[in-house]
Amino acid sequence: MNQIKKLVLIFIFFFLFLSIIIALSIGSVQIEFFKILAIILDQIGFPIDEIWTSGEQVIILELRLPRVLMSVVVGAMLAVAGVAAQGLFRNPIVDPYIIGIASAAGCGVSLCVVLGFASLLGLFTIPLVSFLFAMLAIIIIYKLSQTRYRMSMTVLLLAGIAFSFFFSAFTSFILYFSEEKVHYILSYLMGSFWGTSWVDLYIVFIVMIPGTIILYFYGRDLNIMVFGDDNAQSIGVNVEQSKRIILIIMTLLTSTAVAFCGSIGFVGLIIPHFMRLLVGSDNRKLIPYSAVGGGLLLLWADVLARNLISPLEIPVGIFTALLGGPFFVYLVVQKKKSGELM
Amino acid sequence: MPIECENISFNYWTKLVLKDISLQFGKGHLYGILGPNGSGKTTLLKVLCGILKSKYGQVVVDEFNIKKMNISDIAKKIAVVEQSTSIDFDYSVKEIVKMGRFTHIGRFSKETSEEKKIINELLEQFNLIELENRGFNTLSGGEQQKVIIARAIAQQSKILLLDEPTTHLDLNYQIEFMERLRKYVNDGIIVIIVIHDVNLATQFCDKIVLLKEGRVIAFGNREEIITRKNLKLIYNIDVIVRKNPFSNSIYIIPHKIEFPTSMRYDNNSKPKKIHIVAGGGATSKILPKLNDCDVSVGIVNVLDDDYILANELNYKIISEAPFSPITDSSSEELKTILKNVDLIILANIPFGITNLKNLEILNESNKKIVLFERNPIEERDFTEGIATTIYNNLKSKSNVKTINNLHDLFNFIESMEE
Repeated sequence: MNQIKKLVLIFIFFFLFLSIIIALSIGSVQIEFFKILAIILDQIGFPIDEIWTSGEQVIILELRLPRVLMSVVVGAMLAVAGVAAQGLFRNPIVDPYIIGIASAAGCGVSLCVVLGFASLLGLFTIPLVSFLFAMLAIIIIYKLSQTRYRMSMTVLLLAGIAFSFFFSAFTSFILYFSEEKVHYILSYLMGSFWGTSWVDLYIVFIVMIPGTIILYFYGRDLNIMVFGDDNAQSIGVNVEQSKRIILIIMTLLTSTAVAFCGSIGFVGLIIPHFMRLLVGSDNRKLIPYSAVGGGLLLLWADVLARNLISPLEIPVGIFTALLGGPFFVYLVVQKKKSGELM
Repeated sequence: MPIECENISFNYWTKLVLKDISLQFGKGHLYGILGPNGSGKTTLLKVLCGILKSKYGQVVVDEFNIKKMNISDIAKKIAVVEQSTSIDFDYSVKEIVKMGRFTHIGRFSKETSEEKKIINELLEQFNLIELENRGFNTLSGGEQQKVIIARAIAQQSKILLLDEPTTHLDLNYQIEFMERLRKYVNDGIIVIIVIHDVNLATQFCDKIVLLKEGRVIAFGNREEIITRKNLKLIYNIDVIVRKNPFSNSIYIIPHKIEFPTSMRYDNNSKPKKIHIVAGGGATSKILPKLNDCDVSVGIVNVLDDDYILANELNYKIISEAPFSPITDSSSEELKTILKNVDLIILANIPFGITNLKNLEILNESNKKIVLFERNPIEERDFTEGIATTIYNNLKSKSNVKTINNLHDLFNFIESMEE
């Protein structure tokens, strides 16, 4: 078993790279594998004879590549945010979506679009509004669930569910009065990588990389927090400060993902779980491996989403939810069996 | 003093939990904090390590006010082991012990080979090498406790605070655990432990703090602190304090006080004078309950169980050296006492040559006598019939009553007129 684990871990990076190339070659227009390699190598700066048409180049570089990379980056973000949420709330069945962050962010974005503020502050308007709404939700939920001695998981989940419903209802309310933008908002809310541009990718990328790195350096704090606040403090963790930083980064990662790709649930739940089986609970291993795992999951989910009933596209969020719903139930049943549910 | 608190008061909302507490803890001692539930033990511990901040008074660690120290500096000086530990994500034993090194490793640096050495030494010291890759949640309670202590020791702090660490441990682990703490004390660490088990505390802690309702009732060496009076004050229960013959430490035996109501004398009435002829532990159930009477016991040998008990209860005792027959001077003493008593009780004791004199003196007395008889005299007679003869003679006298059970005995004493 240990041998298999090690092999998986060694090959997972290689597999991610391979997956990106394969994903680029899949689509309604057939482009050969070597052509894709050639186009990419040419872009990086290798002198290669042009064996491709300019149409193929546009499809690869302007349509497929940003989209594929976006799915990888967003997958990584959501998985890392999931690791942070589970560590922070000391509960393996929490993810940023379950506790209402995503619906708050989605609500903010919808409001922004309907009111026509979408480009008030340029490109950063939507991510900013998304972040503010998410932050508002998480701060209230966090404060509510914090009792004197410890975090009450029951209150956390209840408050999370309540906020999810509240913001979803508010979003529905907005949709109801916005006839001409309904389809746009709906397809956005279901989660999709359709029409990703390089600029979008850059923005998401510059959030994801530092966010993940900061969380990585707070991995030890997260590890120790598993013992509870008082205990962690006596070991020397500045619990309040660390929590605040981790909470902000987690919300930033999630809300940015939501801002660009809508709600894609359950990645942050499934991947940390799966990776914990492979690398253990140490967050300094869990964070990088979850990032890769999350990237892989969303990459393939998106490949399915855009090719299963091509030329029609299925919102990728539907896929992850179809996968994640049963998985969540499985987790609850497992926890119930071991008698430690909440 | 490495750690002390001055005039600490602490309240949760409006409830005052600690009231004006001043304590000093120095090197070379194992401190035990004892007190009933809700007396503020855990709160005191949390104030001492800075997790709770008191509004009034201050905690001083190595000359620094703890409120002005940052969290990582406190962690370098004070390590804490909490009551029980459960974790939702399973970490390996090694990973958990490593967590104790948190303040010693920079946020952005990796563990050096020096760090790895420290961890391996600790794992070895705690016999955890074989378990190092096991998940914490798969360990037994004793093993888990060991891992948590190892984590605390990894902090290399000079002060170790523990909150009821032995509560979930089996007896053998408790002893092993407390012995380990003593070892740390000998290595120069100050160990302060909140503990429920008074006997465990008196066996291993050399200094005791007694807390009640947030106040320090007593603080000092265990022999001075663990007394019948103090424990009655704290736990509202009567105890017997004894010396453990093996370890020379003291231990307590709690017993309930349940006097028949009328046996509690009023201040204006005189207590009943009762003399008990005891021996061989036969009166262990009688003596404690006569607490409110004026009791004398004898003639017994020093070191006899009844002698020790009567001594603890502060009764008057007529005694003889161990294993020696009754001398004339104690016979006279007994006769003098018997002249003034309201009641004489002859307990269910065995008779030999050494204590036969008791029976003879009783035979001469015309006071009210109760023979407390559980076994026939023949079974208790080791004088080849002499005791039986006197006993039966005594039994036939008009001032003598035979009683067979404790209930009747106490009822009789209660109904007795002065």
